[in-house]
Amino acid sequence: MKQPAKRALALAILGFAALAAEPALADQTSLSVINWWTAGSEAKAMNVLVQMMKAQGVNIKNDAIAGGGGAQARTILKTRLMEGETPGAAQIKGVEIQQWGHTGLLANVDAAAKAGDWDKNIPTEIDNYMKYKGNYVAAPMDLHRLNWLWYNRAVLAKAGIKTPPKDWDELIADLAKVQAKGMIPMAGGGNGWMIATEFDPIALETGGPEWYRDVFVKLDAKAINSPTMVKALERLRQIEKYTPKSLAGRTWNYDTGLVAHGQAAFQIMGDWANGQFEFLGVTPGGPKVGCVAFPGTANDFIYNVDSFIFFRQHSAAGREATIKLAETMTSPKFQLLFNKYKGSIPDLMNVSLTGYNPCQLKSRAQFLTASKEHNLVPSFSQNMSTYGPPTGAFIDSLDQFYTSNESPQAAAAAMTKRVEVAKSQD
Amino acid sequence: MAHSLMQRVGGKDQVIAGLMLSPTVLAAIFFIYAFILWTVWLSLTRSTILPSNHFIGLANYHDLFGSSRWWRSLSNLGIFGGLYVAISMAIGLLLAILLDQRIRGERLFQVVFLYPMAISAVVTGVAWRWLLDPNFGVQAIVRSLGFTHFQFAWIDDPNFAIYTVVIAAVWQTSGFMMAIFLAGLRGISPDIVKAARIDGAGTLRIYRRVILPNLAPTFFVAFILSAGLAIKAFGLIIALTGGGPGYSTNVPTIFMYVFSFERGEMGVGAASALIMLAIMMVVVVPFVILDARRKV
Repeated sequence: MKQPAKRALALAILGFAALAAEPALADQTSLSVINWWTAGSEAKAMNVLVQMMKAQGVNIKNDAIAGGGGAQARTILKTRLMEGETPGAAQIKGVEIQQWGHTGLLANVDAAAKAGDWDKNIPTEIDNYMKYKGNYVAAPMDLHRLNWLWYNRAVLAKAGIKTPPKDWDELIADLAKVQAKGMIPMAGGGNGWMIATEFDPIALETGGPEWYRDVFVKLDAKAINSPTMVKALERLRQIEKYTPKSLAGRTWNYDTGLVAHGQAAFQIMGDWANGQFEFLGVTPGGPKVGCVAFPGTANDFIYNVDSFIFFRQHSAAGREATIKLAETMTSPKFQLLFNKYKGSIPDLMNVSLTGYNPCQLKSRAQFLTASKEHNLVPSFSQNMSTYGPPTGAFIDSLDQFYTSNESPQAAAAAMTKRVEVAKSQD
Repeated sequence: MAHSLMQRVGGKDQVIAGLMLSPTVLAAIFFIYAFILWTVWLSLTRSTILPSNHFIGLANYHDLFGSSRWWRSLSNLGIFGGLYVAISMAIGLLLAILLDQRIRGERLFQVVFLYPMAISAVVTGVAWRWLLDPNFGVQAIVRSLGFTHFQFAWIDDPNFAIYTVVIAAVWQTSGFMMAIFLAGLRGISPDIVKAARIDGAGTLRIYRRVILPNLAPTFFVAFILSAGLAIKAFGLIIALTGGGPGYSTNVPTIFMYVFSFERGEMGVGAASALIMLAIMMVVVVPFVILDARRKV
């Protein structure tokens, strides 16, 4: 090699080394937050988080990865971890937090919990998810209620329905009335997740909170393979009959649009539908669209809580930034803003919900009474009641039942078998 | 020393060629075979959300074959793979024979038929989803022509949705099959055909007895390629049906993705990936052996 060539090579190597070294220097007070909130109001709220952290001298990299349900985001999280690139926080919720706790990768954010007095301000039911072996490793962002029935007032009026249904028989009678007028009675169906989300309140309504917990939390085979489950499945079948077949493959927000625009009468969906209704310019609880607790579950509350887990950082600055992030996520200012857009309510019970819509106010009130009367249950369809494999077993069984002629008895038996297999995989 | 090595392996050119290829070979060994071995190991462990080294034997395979969703995926692969390979090869061959008649504008037709292959699977899937949607697509169009009772809602029917996947996949790759068969047809010496004609054979007979037997290697290539595409199909199905209604259009690739990454059952996912590899080998290996024997 001639001299000039050697020099050029050396320069090139130095150049690469400098390029490689630069991000490491800049990364010291920056944290990556992996999430799947890419849509409209959720993305806006995440930007507020970024701004609030910037004011505290922490640079947040908002790693929003498209794909509802977060499969893609989780895939990226795992890839990063295997590459040794630890993010600051990631959107992981429910029982899965415990599985992440086992990996030993999570940071202890007790300091943030103490500063925000989570023990007092956040309900114990939610707190328990955030702790691994007694220490806080995650922070909650929101509190969703699943057992809602959304309805279009004009469609109900056209079908001659004066008040929204209060029990199962009323609901079925109302669906028939809407169908007789040639409109879509129930917007729903679609994929397994949507079927499970609809089944969530149906199961609670059929069996009550105690049975619901036996089935979806304790995974008790006797409770699953029971006449109550058969009855619940029969009811899912009844709902299916009033759901147009050609809606298969659509998303929940499409269904919300059908109700908002007066093409369908009802939708069974969690209160993230609130955010979608607002986006479409109709305020739930307003003159066009109403919300009512799913018939027969007025005193109950099926909850879903989105949260972030925090990863242990190598630098002291990184650890300090993690605590600040956890504090900010649970600060009244951020929670009020974020949840207003998202349709949920803050996890903090000590803040007043000014500017929230009537459905959200109802949600807070019903959470408090349900909590007192032990009528709170964790949503199985949103991965809150148990870990991945059994949840998948329930969803697969419902999916199979919904899209075939399987009898409710056979479906309950198949569900029991599937859950037994999945239990062995823990 | 260096000199003798060069001589041993057959000269400077070969050493350079070896050196140039070695990164590729090393990369292939690492990224293909090492990862296959890792997947084998994962399938024998209790890996859930992250890989783990907790050995559990064949339990994941037991769970896999106890899952009706997996059986559905396998039978769907059978239906989809069988129909897709057969139909796309048949249409490809037919188009190639028609194009081989020295017609005017042959180039234009070639481009038109090949074009679907240039479109990504996801775009194909989305386009066909709208075409097959009873509310907007074929059914709505035919009904708007006055046939108000016309029914074509396969995509919403769990028992028929898998056939919509066949339609979209056939549409996408028939042109490609045509290109392969056309190349094969052009490779057959016109002299043989002429000789057969002089012997008094008709066109049909020439195709059946002379041209098609000579196309055997082309059939082999077309089969291997389309069978591979069928087993690997993922994006098209995700875009077209999302694996639904329910899980009625799940195939092993979708099953593997869902269990490895969504469900947190990485061990079961790895087991399903290896079964897929086995299926691929069952399909491909006999042909490779057959082909190797023919060449010897």
